[in-house]
Amino acid sequence: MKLKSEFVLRNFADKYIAVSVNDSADESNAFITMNKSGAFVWELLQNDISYDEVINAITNKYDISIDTAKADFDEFLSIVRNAGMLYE
Amino acid sequence: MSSPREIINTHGYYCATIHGYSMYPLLINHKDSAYIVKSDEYKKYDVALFERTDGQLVLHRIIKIKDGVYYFCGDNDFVLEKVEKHQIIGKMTEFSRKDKEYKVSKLSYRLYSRVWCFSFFTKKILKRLYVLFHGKRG
Repeated sequence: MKLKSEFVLRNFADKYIAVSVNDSADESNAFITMNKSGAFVWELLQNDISYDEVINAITNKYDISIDTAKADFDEFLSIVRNAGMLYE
Repeated sequence: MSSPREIINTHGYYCATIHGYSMYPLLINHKDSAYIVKSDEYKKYDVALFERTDGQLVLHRIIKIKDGVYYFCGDNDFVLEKVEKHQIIGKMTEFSRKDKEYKVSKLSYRLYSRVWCFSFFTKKILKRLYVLFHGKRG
């Protein structure tokens, strides 16, 4: 899975905000605000990466269980999927 | 989907990618983004988001305030637009340009806004010089 290149992450007012650019900006003005760990996952998804690789990267970086990492990542995936930001 | 006004009223901020060339050379169509916050006060040189009477959303700069009426103009435009305060949704406090984020409090930005918008005549001259050194807009 990988995020579409038409979406970029901005860092405004200590927030990480994903917005659409290029031609996608005409289709949607939706934006997603995330925290620092969301931005970490966003950066991982800039390259084609598997679900398990993301979970590994999250548990290596943060002191959380695999189940918590999966629950958090599933929620993240659901949001970016609904926003049409993901290639799968 | 919620409108920008609803989003700002609920969350206090709104973020969008730029559509159009009216704020060129500061903001580039489909590339740069603006971070807009709710505000009670708007000043000359603020870049603010307002809603035209036909519902169109516009992000332009306040050039003049007189008798409680705000006069807006795009940095790439030469016509003033009269706007009532209730039409203004919020003001830009940060923006991205060429994938880098800037605050409007930055000195270089403040200098740009004052020099660029000093008068339509200086704007015309500066625009010609900008195009000469940086090529066509966009």
